[in-house]
Amino acid sequence: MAEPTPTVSVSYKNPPIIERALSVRGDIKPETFYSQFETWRPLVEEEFPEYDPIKEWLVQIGQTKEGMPLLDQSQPVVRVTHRFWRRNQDGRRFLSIRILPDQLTLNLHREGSVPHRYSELRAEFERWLPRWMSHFSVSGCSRVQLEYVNLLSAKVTPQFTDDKGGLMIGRVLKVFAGIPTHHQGIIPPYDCQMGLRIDAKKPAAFHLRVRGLIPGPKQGVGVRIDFLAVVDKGGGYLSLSDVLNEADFLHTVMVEHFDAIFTDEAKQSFEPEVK
Amino acid sequence: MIAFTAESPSANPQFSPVDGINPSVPSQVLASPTQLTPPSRLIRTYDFPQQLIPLDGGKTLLRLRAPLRLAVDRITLEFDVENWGIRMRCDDVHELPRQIARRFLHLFSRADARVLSNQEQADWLKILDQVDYTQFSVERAAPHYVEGTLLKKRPLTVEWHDGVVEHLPASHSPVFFPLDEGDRFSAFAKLGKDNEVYSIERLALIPA
Repeated sequence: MAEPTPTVSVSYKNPPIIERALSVRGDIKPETFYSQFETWRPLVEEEFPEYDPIKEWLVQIGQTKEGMPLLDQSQPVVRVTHRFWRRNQDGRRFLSIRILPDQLTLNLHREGSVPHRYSELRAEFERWLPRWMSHFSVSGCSRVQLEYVNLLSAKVTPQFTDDKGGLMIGRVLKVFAGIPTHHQGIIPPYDCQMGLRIDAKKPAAFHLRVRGLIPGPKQGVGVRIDFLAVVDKGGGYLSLSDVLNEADFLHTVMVEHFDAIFTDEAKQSFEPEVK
Repeated sequence: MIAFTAESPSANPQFSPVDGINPSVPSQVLASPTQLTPPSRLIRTYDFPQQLIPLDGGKTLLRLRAPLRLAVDRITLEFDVENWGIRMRCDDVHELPRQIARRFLHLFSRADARVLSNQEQADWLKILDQVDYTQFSVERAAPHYVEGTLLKKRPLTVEWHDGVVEHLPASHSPVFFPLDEGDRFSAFAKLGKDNEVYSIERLALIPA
């Protein structure tokens, strides 16, 4: 097992991050959630005035021993996530707050060339976490999760797009950089994923997923790289300050893995700022 | 959630591509699939997991005994809520709790006024089978004026004005915070099943 890498205080002026999300799961009785949600809503709408729920129609798919896909016998469900948006001065959505019966999430999106920073997401989260815990009488939290969505595309990372609109992914991600065979280029699909146990005592884990995106009519090739770091206590208890401390810990995990997963050439192009 | 779930879920319901897979045709068929189009090929049911529907701004909860079952028409992308007489567009599914509340209160009012039509009467009976109507009645009832004496704080014990002694749940303790043992009080209480105190408020001391 590799030794932990010493923390390096490097940030990037232009990383390919298009979205950051910080979530916490709390212990809320369903009666409390549904009786309090209607009074929570106007509080949120003061700062996030645009209600735009996410509606997911979820079907489980299994497969036979022969690999044939089949609908699972369990009953499909509909899940509604209450999402409220804040727009910037140009009228673009950039920050949202999402509510499930036991979960609070804040999502901060890239605004054009402005990728934002963890500190901005953290500041909003620090304001809303105590309100959420107080309003829904959250007795304790069990899970904190930080997610970064990176996008490699002609728009976000033009420095790695060739003349024909192709993506030079082998020059960006270390996992694609050292393929030990003779080849003339890496072609889709790029999809892969892995999980790392970071700290068994917390317990904390890090997950990486790479997915090729289907290009739209006006877009070229795109590759989405999801980083997810999580502390999950199961039935354990995290206080308000614990949640914030764990979020900061997860950010250090994120920084460390960002540094390890992208190539030196890619990081140099992201314009490092050493503090 | 953005990662490791559906990718930026769109507003429209999305169905698995597996829906488009044709089942294998048995060796002996009586009619081709185009001649027989059973309803099950067009309808798929989904559960709506929210079983608590807020009424009165959340002060009262309508408790469903089971998740609502939505029968989705895959052609029109509308769904029927089984046994509720509600049909909606799939894209409006987030409005379902409000529509359930409206439907319930509409029939409740008409039942109270004894003006239900035959169809509404049938719908109302089906709905009553699916909700905890007793609990709804308890939560919705107006509070009663009561008087009593606080006998003990732990366990919380009171003697009502008619001499009945009752142990109250510890969850009511904060209301009695200002009182000493032996104090007489008045209050407004909601009574639940078997006349136990469901909630108590507006407590005042009665001078000795």
